[in-house]
Amino acid sequence: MNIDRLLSDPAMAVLRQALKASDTTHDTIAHNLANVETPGYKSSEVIFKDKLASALHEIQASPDNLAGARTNPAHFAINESPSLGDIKPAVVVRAETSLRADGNNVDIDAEMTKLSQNTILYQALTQLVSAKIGQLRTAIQGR
Amino acid sequence: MDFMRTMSISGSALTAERVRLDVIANNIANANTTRTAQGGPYRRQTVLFAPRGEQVQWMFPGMEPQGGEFKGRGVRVVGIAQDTSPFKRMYNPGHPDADASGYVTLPNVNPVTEMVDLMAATRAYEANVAAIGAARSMAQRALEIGK
Repeated sequence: MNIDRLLSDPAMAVLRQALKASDTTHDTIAHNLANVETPGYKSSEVIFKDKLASALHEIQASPDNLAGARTNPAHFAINESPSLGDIKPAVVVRAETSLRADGNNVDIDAEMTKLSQNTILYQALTQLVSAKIGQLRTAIQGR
Repeated sequence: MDFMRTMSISGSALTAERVRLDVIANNIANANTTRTAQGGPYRRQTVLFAPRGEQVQWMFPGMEPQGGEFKGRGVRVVGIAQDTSPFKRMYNPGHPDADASGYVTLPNVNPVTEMVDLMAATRAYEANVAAIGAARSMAQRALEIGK
């Protein structure tokens, strides 16, 4: 097994995207909090968990999928299951609601709750990455 | 992770809220000012906020979210506007600025409104300080990966 495979296994790729999603989530929360008094501002939100869950579901639904090989990036994907590491966080603007007469829809309590949740999630993710690297270190040191 | 960018988002809000606090303090300080350089009593001022950076994709129910970089960069003060509501008038014939009928025109500043705005600005400031604190603890965790 070469070292590249060890460092780029699917779990690590998903963790990397999850950390990126958590980072972007923090940016959106900070941006929403910054614009809590801006008239007409609509809050932004990151969608990652749902995308990851649906991709996982798709993979589990068809475990022995026969996929067409692609020898050229211009080829069409035939029956290819999504690679979990390619699931990227999406940022959306919640335009359909309005909390105040000035059109702003930042719910400061919801944002503060999301802020705490996201910080804890980020800490959990960094611990998981550390654990993966720890396993690798154990394998290298042989004890 | 770009923590400098994250902190600058919250930092822009701290600046904006501080400008707002300055304007509110100025309104309260001038609640009884009857002489200004432009002539007439002091006119209440309000700050105008606008988002920095652009909004990416507008989400409506049933829409499939697309990927994309988050381009929001906080908030900025686009200007300080004057409140065009009418001035208050108070009967005080002994006042040097009283008109012929004995009324003094006073600023359109309502101290109650200003105090409520002051509290709202303080709370918004605190929320953004909390966001900076969260970003700092996340950055520290990121530095501890692999230790």
